[in-house]
Amino acid sequence: MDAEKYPGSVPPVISRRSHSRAVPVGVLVLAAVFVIGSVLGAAVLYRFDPTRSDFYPICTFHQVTELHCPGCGTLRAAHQLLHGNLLAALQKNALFVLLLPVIGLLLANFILERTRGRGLRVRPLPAAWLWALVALILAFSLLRNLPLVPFNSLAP
Amino acid sequence: MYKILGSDQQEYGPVTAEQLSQWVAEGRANAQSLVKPEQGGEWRPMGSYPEFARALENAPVPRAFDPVLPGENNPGSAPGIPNYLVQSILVTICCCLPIGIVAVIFAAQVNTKLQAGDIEGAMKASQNARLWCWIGLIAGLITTVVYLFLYGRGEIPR
Repeated sequence: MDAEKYPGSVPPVISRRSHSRAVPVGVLVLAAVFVIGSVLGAAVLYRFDPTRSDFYPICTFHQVTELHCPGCGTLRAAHQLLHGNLLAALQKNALFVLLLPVIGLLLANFILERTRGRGLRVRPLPAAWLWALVALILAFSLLRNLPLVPFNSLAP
Repeated sequence: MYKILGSDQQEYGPVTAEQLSQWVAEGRANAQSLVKPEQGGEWRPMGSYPEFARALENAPVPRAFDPVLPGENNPGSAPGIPNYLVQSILVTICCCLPIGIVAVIFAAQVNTKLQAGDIEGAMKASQNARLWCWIGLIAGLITTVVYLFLYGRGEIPR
């Protein structure tokens, strides 16, 4: 019997993709909470400007030390981004805006790893890049607190 | 003659042992595929049938575009030691506490140690990155909740 002559009577080629594990319920719940939370958060951020609303939490670090942490200005930057103002967003928190694509990629990789057991096909990042990131965050944290032109424009 | 469950969970056959071996060679069946002799018997993985041992041994290697899982086919690659980089970045940016930077430093350390072949050190750094992500997240959540509580009671001066 030559099965090739009868279309449909030959099992399909096994692809690894068809072997994905069932997604645990906990991961699904977390993903749902994350998506709903993101959408709700974005809606609130779009509607209410953090510079004019007082219900947004204020950075504790900033309240205690009066210094700007690397995250200060993120909500304001996100508000500007949601309104399409890239320059204004960069002024509020350049680090957040620059890292946003990286965060998106890493987050997608993380979610895929957890849901189908395999992430994006990216090699592990070279350690040097991560140390460059550490240096970038530290430099940004330091420079945005200097009361000097042009560094003070990094402050939110 | 044998019946086989394809990867689409459909039943195929009955076909001869030669045909099944051919399907193995074509990547349509593997050692995990469930096979049943036509005359009675039960579904068992193909790997448990001695008559297919030779065919399975000669089965094609995964195609080049198949991703290679860490530690599976390429022992030289990094085993799955997470560096929690994205969590560290998120804690750094969202939780407004310098704790996140500590986590990012440990994340970088994971990759450094992996590159140097120091698996044990990488695992330790990975655990530390995770620990500091949690510390940052919890500290951030607590301060936010406390803030919102005080805000609700009108105790936040403006």
